[in-house]
Amino acid sequence: MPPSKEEITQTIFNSIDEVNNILTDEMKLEKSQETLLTGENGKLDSLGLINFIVEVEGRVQKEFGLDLNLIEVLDSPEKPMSSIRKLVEFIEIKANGKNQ
Amino acid sequence: MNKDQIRAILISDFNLDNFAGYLKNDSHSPKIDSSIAPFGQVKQVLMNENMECWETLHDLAIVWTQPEGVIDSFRKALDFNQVPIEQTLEEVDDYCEALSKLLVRVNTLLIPTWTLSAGFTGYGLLERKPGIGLTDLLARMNLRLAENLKDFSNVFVLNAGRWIQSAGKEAFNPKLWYMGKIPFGNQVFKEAVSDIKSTLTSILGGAKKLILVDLDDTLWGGTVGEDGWKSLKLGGHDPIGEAFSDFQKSLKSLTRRGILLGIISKNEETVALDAIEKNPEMILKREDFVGWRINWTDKAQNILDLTNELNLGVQSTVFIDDNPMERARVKEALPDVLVPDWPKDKMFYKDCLMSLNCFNTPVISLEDGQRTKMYGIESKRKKLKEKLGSLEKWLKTLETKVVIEEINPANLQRSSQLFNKTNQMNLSTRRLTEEELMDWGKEKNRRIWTFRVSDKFGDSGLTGLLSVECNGTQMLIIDFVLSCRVMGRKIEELMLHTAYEYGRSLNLKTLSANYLKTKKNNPCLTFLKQSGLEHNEKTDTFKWNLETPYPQPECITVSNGDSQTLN
Repeated sequence: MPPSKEEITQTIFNSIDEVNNILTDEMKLEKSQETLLTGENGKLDSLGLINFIVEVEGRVQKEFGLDLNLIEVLDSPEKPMSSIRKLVEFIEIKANGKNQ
Repeated sequence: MNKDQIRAILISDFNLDNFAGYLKNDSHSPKIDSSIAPFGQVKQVLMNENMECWETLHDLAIVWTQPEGVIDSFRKALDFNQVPIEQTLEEVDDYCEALSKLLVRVNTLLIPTWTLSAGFTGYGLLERKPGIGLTDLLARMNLRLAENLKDFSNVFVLNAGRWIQSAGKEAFNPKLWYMGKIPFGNQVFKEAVSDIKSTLTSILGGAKKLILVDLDDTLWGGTVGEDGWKSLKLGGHDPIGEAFSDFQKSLKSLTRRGILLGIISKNEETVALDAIEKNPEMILKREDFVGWRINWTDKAQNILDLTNELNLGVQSTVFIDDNPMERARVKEALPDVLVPDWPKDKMFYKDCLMSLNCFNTPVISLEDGQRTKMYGIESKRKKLKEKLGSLEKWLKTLETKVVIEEINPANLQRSSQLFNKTNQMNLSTRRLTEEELMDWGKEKNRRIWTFRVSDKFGDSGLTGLLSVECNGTQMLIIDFVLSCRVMGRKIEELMLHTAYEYGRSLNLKTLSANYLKTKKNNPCLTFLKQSGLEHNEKTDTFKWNLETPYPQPECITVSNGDSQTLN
């Protein structure tokens, strides 16, 4: 059974909690679907993005057994790393694909 | 170093941004405000004090490097080139020389040991072979590093291997390395921050000194009041009994490091003490405990009473209890007491105790191992005091002897330890390393004396320190430090008399002391208020006209030690 959208969202929010332990106050991420990660109004700098990717990949692997490579899809048309909402959708599609 | 905010510089050949982030965001005391020296320029930063990063002052430097980043021979060895061990160790010597140069720019230097990445197999079965294996070579390098720096009391080599072990599989992540030049997973940095905060707490005098333990299902298995001492689960051929024995052994081992043990238990005192004395499997004996409160009163109240009796602040205390309700009660009532979450499974008790990193002190002296005994002696004194009633009468019977000597290389380590650990009878609560203390005392207008106290019950050791600074016709007491072990035995008055005598010998006019309030040093204010010195309540300054004698307490015999002065 693939993880639900809520479960994926929770996993990403847990990743945000962890990454916020490293980030400066002005870069700290809000736990919201609307949070922008990269792009013009994205909150993360390059190191913040690396940490966020490593954290999300690690948790998704551990919790859902799903191997992601978010660096490879960074510039893909779906832009999964542009916002939390897009990232949740991307992982949901990947998880469903794995279970089909 | 200031407890509220420590300014640190981080020096490394790899990206320490994540580590700096954890250091800054960690909520535990002390707060650390860090800046990162230019990335990958370790030797330049160490050697060149004119670099921009040194324009601001730093209390602390953390120099965390990869061995191949700073020791060229090791870099070659990693590529399986044959490199003589001696050549590599000479490079380690040079590196240590460069590290020592930092000590004119910072008060304290922390150096994590060098590590290899977890997946590194090197020469496989030859990895521990001297002259071949890289694991062997790195162990020698770390040993040489520690040996070279062992005489600097303000340099601490930290065990980074433990951080990596604790982080397990998350210790390394190639993505962090290739994308961020970060050789460790973030779990390693979290472990490092925890260890470093503990180290700094120790240096600042905040190490825990007293463990208060519950009895039933904490020190032994079962309920002594119901089961009787013969039926307790302890020792023997039983895994749970063995786990309790091991827990007791670990507690006992901590007493050899100067940690005191006490009991806080809801039980009948006679029944519980009977079990401690009669159960042949007990590792801890009655004399291993400096005090106890075994009754049916609230445990938080009992902790307050016992710490008062022992002249220790609750901040110095760790409370261990298997009952989560009791732990929650103490946490709520006494937030300064450390109450670790305690495992339900008895087989984890020992590991949980030994993983607490709150007992570490920057130095370990001979007196640390004698501390429980000294408290036992103190207890005998108190009993005599109760018997004799009048304070003066009691003090006379103690036959107290005090040896006063100036600070010198022989007593410097213990003096520095006392100086940095004492919180209650402490006028200004300065924190200085051995070198800083020695350097401070070398100025011509300053003096530092130490006070070694003994009486008919035993030797309390070097337990007092007094420092003064003379300017014009005035003498100012800078440090007035006395261990809680000897407080209230007129040593305080003797210290003031010593300052008075010195002031008179220089024909000075006044003696003064400025009390600097901290969370813990109210006992010092209380003493000064009743010392006879004139008190300015607005500024909490105290004065004495040196034309008026400040008498030496009659109950104390004073002698001067053979001191080798600093000047």
